[in-house]
Amino acid sequence: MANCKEVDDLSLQLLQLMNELMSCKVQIENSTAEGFLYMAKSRILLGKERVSKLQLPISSENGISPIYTVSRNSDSDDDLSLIDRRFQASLVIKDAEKETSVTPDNEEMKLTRRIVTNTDKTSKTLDVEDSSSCTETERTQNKLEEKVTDPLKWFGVLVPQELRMSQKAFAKAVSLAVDCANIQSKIDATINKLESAKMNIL
Amino acid sequence: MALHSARGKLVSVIGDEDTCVGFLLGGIGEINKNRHPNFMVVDKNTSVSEIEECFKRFVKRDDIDIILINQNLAEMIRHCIDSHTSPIPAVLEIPSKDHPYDASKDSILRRARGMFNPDDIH
Repeated sequence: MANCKEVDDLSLQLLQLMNELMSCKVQIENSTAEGFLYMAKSRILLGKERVSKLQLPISSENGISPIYTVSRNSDSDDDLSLIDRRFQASLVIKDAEKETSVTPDNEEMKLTRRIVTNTDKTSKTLDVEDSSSCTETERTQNKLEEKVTDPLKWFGVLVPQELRMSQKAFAKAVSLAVDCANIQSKIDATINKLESAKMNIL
Repeated sequence: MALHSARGKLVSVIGDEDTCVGFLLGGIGEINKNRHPNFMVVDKNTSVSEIEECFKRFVKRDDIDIILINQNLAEMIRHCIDSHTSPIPAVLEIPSKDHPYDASKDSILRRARGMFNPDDIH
């Protein structure tokens, strides 16, 4: 009797999750449709070739870094969450600032540089102490800013507002995709539980 | 160290030109130092085996947690997608500009429906 109730509960849960997944996918469809519409408007303004795969920096030496990545939360059932790496950059800078404020002698930030030169097949190292304005915080910031660039820049310096709206719509679609992935993993888990509950009845 | 550990995993995309351009504009694109992209632009000249190879490559990579694939392309490699039952990476079938979303073709929903009616799996 308890097993039958468990099967019923899991079946209802599965139906609910299926409904959530379908509505999430419909939201992704609406969001991407909006993105495609704004992309088409941008093409009218900029030209067809200016908003196409030709603008993607595939052959760039530095590569491309993503703005959004995902991570798993060990606290909440391994759910995925979206990370905005631009926001992360500012957090790292704040952490670096906090760390530097702890040291007692931080009125002058000193930077030690090692210059390795090869002369006559021998390497020389030169240690230079430089009380420059290039602090640990600024170096971290520069490193992160180099990495995370706005994809809008691939399409030109002055881009139309329509392209920005398209970017917003696709960013929203990415966030919805993460929600979809979480619902899918819950569906997977519920299917497994339901299968084992049905086996127990048999 | 904190930066590296919090970098997170990637969202990859296999789709037509507009889908890939759109999602890369949205900010998920990556080309790493080995010049391996996390996206694949599929056009009329792309063969089914190329799509399949790309899908398998993305599944094998440990830095990808979500694979977005246009549903019409997923239909072409349905056998591959159905055989991928692991929750990681999550495979999401998304609509394209020319092909709206069809819930009856979605792999995960077909599996779920199969729990209520075994005929629905096929």
